[in-house]
Amino acid sequence: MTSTSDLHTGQAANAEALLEVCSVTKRFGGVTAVREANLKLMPGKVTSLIGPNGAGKTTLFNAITGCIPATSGQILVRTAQGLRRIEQLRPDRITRLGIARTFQNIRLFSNLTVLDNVKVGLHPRTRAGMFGAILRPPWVTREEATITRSAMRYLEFCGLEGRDGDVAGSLPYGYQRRLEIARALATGPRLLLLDEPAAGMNPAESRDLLDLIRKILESGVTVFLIEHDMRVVMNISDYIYVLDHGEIIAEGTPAEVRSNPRVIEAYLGSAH
Amino acid sequence: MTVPTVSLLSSLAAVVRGRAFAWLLYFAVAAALPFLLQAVLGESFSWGARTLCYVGIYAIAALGLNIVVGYCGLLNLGFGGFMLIGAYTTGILMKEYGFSFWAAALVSVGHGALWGIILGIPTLRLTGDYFAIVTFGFSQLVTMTAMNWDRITRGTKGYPGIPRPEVDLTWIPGVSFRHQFQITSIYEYWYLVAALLALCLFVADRLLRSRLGRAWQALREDEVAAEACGINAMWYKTLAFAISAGYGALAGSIIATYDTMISTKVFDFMTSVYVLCYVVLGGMGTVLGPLAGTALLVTLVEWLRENPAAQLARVMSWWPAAADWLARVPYQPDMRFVLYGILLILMIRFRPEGLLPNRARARELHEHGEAGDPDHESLFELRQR
Repeated sequence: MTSTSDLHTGQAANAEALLEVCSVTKRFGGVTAVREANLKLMPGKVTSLIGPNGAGKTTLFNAITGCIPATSGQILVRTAQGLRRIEQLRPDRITRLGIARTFQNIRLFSNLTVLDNVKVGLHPRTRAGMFGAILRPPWVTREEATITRSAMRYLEFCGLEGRDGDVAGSLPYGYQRRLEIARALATGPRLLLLDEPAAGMNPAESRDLLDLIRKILESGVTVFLIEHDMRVVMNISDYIYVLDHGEIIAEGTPAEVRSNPRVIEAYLGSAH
Repeated sequence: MTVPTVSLLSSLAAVVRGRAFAWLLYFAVAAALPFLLQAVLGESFSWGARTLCYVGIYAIAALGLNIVVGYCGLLNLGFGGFMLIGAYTTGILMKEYGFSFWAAALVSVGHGALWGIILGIPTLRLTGDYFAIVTFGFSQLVTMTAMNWDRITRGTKGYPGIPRPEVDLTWIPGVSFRHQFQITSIYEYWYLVAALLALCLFVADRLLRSRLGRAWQALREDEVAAEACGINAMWYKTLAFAISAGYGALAGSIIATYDTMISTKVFDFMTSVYVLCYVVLGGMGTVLGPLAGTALLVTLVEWLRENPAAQLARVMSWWPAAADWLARVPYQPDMRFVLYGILLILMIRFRPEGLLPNRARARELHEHGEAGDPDHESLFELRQR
C-alpha cells in the first residue's frame, strides 16, 4: 500500500514526466474545486484520474487544457525545448504544444460531416490562410488533399470508416465518442486527455474502447483518463490518482489503489 | 437504359453539378438578364433593371454579412455601418480627390475592413446577445458621426454629385474599341454589378470550402471544442469580421456611384435589418442562399410599391366581377411593409432554414428521430447486424 502523503515518490523517480501539475488550485468564488493538486504523467503510460462525482476531475482537465485557467499553481509540459509552463496559455496554444482532449458531454461540430470534424482537428498542423483559400495556389490544393487523406486515416484508426459523409450529430452515441477521439488525435498530440470516454457505453462498447486506447498508446501517445467505469480503469491504467473533494487522496498502481482504505471510504462512505 | 447511356448521363450530371458549369450559367444568365427583362417587362423595363441592380448590390452586402452570421454564427446588427463607411469613403475620394472608382472602391474595402478590426478586437470576446447589441451601437455611432460631421460629409444634407465609374482599357495593348468610357446606362451598370458580384461569390465560395471556412464553422458549432482543436478563436473571428466589413464597404461604394447621391438615411438601422433578413431567409452559411434571399425580398419590396391587388385585377380580366373588386382594394405604397412582414412571419414559420439552406441546418431545425433512426441504435446493436 502506498502512502498518500509522499505524493511524488509513488512513481519511478528518475523517469522524466511528460506533464507535471504542481500544487494547482482552482477556486470558483468561495468554492475550491481543486486544492493543491500535484501529479505527473509519464510518457507512454495510461494515467487515470478517478473519484466520486463533483470531486474536481473535469476541473483539473480544464485547467490543464486552458479551458478554465487555474487560480494558482504551475503546469509544466516537456517540449523539445525543455520544460514549458502552460498554465497561462490560451487553449489553442496548449493544443499546439501537443495536448489534446475530449469532453465529458460530447462536443462535436454536430452540423458538420464526420470527415470535416476530423479535418478541423488537423487545423494546427496545416497553414493555409485567407489568401491561400481565395487564390488556392498548388501548395494549398496539395495541403487540402493531404488533409483529406490523413483525416480518412484517423477515421479508419478509430473504426469510423465508411461514415465520413454522415452528419456528425446524427451518428450513434458510441460513434460520436470515437469521432471525438479521432478529432483529438488529428491535432497530433503527445498527450491525450479523455474525459469519461466510456460513459453510457454497454460492456461490448467499452471493450472496443479499451482496444482503441491500447492502439492509441501503441502509436506513441500518452493517455490521461477520467473514468467511472472501473472495468476500464483497472484494466488499462498504469497509474491511478484518486481525487476527492478537490484533493488527491491516493495514488498508485491499480492494485494499490483498489485496496487503499481512503479510496474505499471516499467511494462507499465511512460506514464501510 | 443501356450502361453507356447511364454513364453518359451520370457524367453529364457531374458536369452540371460542377463549379465550372455553375459559373458558365451565371455569366450566361447575367449577360442575358437585361435583354430578357426588356422583352418581358416592356415599358416598365427601367423599373426592372433598377431592381436588378439593387439585387446585385445588396447581394454583395448579404454575402458579406453571411460570413459573420452564417459561417461564424455571430449576430451582427450593425452591418449598415460598414456600408455607410464604404459609401462615404468612395463618394469623398471620387468627388474631392479625383480617385477613379476602382481605386476608391479598393480603399473603401480596406477602410471598411479596418473598422471591422477596430470594432472586432474589443467586442468579439462578448458572446451572443451582448455582441449583437455592441454592433448595433457601432452602426448608430457611424450614422451619427456621418450625420454631424458637416465639414466632411455635409451632414444631413446628404452627399450629392458622386461621379459615375469610368472604364479605362487603354492599358491593354490591342484593344481598339471604346478605350475609355463612363458607366452610365443601366445595362452597363448591371454588367459592372454582375462582375463584382461574381468576384464576391467566388471569394465567398472559396473561403467557405477551405481550412479557414472549416475553422469558422467549427467556431460556430462549438467554440470550446474549436479552441481545443487549436483554433485561435479571436483571430479567426476578427478575420471574418474584417472580410465581412470589406464586403459591406464594397456594396456601399457601388451604391454611392449608382445613386450618385448618398445620405445617412440609406444606411440606417433598417438597412442592417434588411440585409440580415436576406441572409436568414435565403439560407445562412451557404453561398447561394443570401443571393436567393436578396433576389426574392428586394424584388418583392420593389414590386409591392404598386398595389398588388390592382396588378392581379389586370390578369383577372376573364372574371370581371373579381377583377372589379380587386381593383377597388385600397392601397398605400407603405403598405408593402405590412405584406413584407407577413411574408417574413410565414417564412420563419414554414421554412426557418431559408430558401436554399445547407442540409445540416435544415436537419437541425426540422425535428428528426423517428423509429429506426440511427440515433437510437447503439454501437453494439449495429455490429450484430
